[in-house]
Amino acid sequence: MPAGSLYGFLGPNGAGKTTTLRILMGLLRASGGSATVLDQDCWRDGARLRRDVGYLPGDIRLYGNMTGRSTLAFFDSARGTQSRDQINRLAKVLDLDLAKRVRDYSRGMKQKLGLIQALMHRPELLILDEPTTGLDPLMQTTLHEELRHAADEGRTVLFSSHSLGEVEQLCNMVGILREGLLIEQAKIETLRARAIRRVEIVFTESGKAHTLPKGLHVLQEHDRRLEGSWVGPVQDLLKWLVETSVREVMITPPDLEDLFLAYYANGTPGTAEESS
Amino acid sequence: MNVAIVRKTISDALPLLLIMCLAIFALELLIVGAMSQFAEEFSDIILAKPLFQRFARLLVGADLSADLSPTTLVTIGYAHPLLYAFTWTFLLATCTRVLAGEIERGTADLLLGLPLSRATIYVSISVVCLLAGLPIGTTVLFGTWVGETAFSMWEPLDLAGLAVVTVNMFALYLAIGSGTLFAASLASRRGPAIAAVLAILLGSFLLSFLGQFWAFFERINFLSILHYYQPLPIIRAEAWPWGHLVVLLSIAAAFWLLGLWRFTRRDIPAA
Repeated sequence: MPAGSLYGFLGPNGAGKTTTLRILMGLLRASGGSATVLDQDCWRDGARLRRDVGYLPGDIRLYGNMTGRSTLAFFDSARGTQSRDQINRLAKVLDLDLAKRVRDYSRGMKQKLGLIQALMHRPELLILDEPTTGLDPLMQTTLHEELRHAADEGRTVLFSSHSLGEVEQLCNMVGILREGLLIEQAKIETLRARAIRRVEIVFTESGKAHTLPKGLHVLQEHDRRLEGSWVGPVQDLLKWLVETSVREVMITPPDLEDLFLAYYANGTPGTAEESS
Repeated sequence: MNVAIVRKTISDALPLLLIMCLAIFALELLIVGAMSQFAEEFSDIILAKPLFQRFARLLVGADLSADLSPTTLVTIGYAHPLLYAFTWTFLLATCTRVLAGEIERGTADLLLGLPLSRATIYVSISVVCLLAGLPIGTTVLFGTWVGETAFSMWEPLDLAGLAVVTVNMFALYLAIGSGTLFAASLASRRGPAIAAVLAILLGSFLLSFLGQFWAFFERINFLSILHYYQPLPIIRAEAWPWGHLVVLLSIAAAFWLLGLWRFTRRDIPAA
């Protein structure tokens, strides 16, 4: 993962996303191979490494008898940092009442508290396991802004998510995990170029094409109307359309969701059309 | 050692520690009071019965009726089942709270996500758990002293001898505490860790009990951890029980190190 990237970690349930993140945090020992973060071995140098890491577990559990503020003060003190200003700023941004006891917090409030403890010491690397779980759409947007801001500062964000739209909207890099294997890792633009566009073409009476370009897959054809999908650079499609006599054309933006789902289902994007 | 974790562990353990110390104080006070009032009845009626005699021997480690004095009578309060119950309750609750308890609750993910080695966390926790035995031991002795001051005995108590018993009691506490830390470092839930330690303690108690009736069990009584804590022989011998202290402290050190070894190498499963 390049420094300063917003890296979305995707995969179906049971693919191994949480296990991977727990290995990176030194909570689990890799049964084979090794894991390195910030040039340090995750298991052997875990304590030193975690100084520069902020972590939010997938299913956040906190000390119920403590208030939000005392929870954060405990983690701050145990970490040996002084993050009071950041705590106050983040609590304000995320609209969280720190005076309440954690046991009185809702699911979303606990998630916010977990996010503050992960962000408060301004770590070089943020490892967030489904950070937007339990947050309302407004707070999700606020969190996205925080994460973009962190990335703009050169800090790296690695987060797992189930929301394909969220990853598409936020990330500049994506890794897709399936059955414990990283089956794809690419910049979002690269994936977008591979994504499917829905295409609808109405030919003129004389314009019906007999040879279709490579990349256009016909789903339905009726009279002079063709419905299908396009995979590849859109310029190639436009070039072909110019050479063909068409009356109407409709091309949708690339749909990454379909691409991701194809990876989930088959492990290869080449079969995305079939799955869609 | 991490000060924040030490402070948090103390604040988590303190309410139960205070309750247990109060209960132990009351128990010792009552025992001294009862012995000052009913020593004769206790000797003539209760210790005259062979079953009670054997039970008293099981508790204090020697025949109590052989040489009755206020100090030998008071040793019952140093090995009373209620004292064991209070101490063990505290130990089992506190020593399993962080290692297995945090994993069970899921809070271990954040605790172990801190930039601290697992050894630091283990040491910070165990220092509090094990040193909490000091106020417990002190309370036993303090309760006896207050009892002696409040109720007049026919001769003064040998508080120096009872202090040696308390040191032996602390060594027993360390051995059980370290064993509990070891069990907690193996488990991901508190229940199994507590059950395992409790089974061993009750097994020890049962072994000592059966040793009072059958020679075979008496021969293997050295396997019981309670064999290494015998208040009455300490008072009678007026000497330090070095052998027992060495055994108990060795057990404590071995379990503590095993717990450390295991905790620093284990996987932390998601809750």
